[in-house]
Amino acid sequence: MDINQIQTEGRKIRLELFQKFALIKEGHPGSVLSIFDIVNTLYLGGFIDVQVGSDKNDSFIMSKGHAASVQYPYLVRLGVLDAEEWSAWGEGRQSCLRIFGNRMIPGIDVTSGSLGHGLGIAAGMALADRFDNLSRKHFVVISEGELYEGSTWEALLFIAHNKLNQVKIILDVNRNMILGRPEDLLGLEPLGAKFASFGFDTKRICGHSYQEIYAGLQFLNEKDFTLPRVLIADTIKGKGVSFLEDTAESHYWGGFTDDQIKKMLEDLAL
Amino acid sequence: MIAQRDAFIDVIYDAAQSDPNLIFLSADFGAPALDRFRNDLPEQFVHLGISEQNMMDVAIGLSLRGKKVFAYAMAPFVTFRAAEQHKIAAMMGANICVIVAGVGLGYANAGPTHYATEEFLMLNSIIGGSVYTASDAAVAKEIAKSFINTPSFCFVRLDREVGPELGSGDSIFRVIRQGLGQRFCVVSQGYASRLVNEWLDDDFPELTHVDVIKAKPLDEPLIQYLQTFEKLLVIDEQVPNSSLGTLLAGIFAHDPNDSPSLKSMALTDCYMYENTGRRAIAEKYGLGRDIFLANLKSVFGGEVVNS
Repeated sequence: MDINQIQTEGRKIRLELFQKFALIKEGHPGSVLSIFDIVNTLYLGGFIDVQVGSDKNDSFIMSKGHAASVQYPYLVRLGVLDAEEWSAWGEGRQSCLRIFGNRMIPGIDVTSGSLGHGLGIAAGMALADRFDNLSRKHFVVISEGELYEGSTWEALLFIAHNKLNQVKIILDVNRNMILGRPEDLLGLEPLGAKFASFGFDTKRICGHSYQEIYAGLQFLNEKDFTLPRVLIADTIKGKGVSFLEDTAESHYWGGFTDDQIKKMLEDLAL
Repeated sequence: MIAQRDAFIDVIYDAAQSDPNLIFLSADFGAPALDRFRNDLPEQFVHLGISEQNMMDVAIGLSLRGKKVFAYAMAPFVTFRAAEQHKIAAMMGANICVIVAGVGLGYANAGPTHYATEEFLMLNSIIGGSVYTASDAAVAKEIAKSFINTPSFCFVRLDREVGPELGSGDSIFRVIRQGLGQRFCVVSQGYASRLVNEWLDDDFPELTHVDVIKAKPLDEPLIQYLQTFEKLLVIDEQVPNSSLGTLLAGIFAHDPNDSPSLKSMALTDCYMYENTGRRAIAEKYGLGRDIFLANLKSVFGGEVVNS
């Protein structure tokens, strides 16, 4: 798929995902939309290797677990997740799917929901692969909010020291916390310098420019580099829904009126 | 005599030589036996720095990729600082043995930051985790073998002090002393078992003494065995809410069968700053021989105490 096709197909998947949210009336729309374009490119662009029944698959850890549901449509397309599980979700039939990912869901590698664990777990997986002479990739999406967890920095130290370059870190910087902006509450920048000081190579992109995302994922997937890599993505919380964009209110699905839901789906259908 | 941790690690060392999936993690915590392990098996040893939380997350990742993992650190720190990691590890059914070293007042006279007198409660609160306590090196070995043969998510509480062996090893429970009667039983775990063994000496022939090793889940045959007694005195080097006595009382409260009356001996619920040594501190805060004998008398009566 070329970049235009990835983007076009992604719009359909995004709408499909939000039609599901409208049905189940749960979820974290802002956070899903901030990371959506990157996850879309990761899967449709073939950056992650996942095949049905293989025990050699790359792993994907949505450490910001409230956005885990963004993976489900892709896992269905790959045949890893049964299409009936997706169809049944929110339709009153039994489904294994949940807003937060857990390991009982086929294709979900790690139970997530509590922040600050994904990097350490990915480090352990990459270390195990090193022991077993395997070279699987371990993609981890972390939110900037997870940078407030000490365990994140413990894991970064460990990854850098052990040169676990198969851990591919994607940092979603949407600059929206529940109570305000990081720069007003507890500053995180300069992110690039912080990661560099911990021993990482970084590339900063716009997380909604498909050209930049594609180049960023190529940067992560290059072979034979020295320092582990972090893709820092500046994103917009609620991207694609006019009344949600860049708002803290987009964090939870709650209290949306029928008109707002209609508007949301109209925006995403454009 | 050998320290529990060295006995435990020696078993892992022996098994790890033929099983490359056994991985040992340390949060900068050592032992003589570990020196041999990391020297001879460096590819199966990982140093995490003093970062108990990351050690547990890395352990989860290793386990998810098929490794059997030992995660080793000092009791108060690995227990509380990494509490949520334990929950997540248990949630995912990770095969991790968390080695909780230096429980109770083992680090006397370091003060309350280094004491683990309330950690048993925390470990028992983790859904899906098992909790073992070693009372001597023979027991420590059996617990290590048990994990290697049947890995799961578990905590193994080891004592810091080198002590005598109290009997042949087991990984569930053991009857250290079989009384002449079947009415009265003293129940303990870990260091308290050692104390009770000393305090009873050859006196009180009526009394049975049971050493609980696997407290969670508590072995059903052990529950049934304890229910054959009329009265129990339960002793633990923990504060009351975190003690074996409180755990047993809770189990009996939910058990449909008739259960014995139970009195619990534990440490006072406070932080302890004395530097008078483990025994003196324990005695001052409720875990001394005189208090034990007084409890024997009050719980079991003159029939036992005067025999």
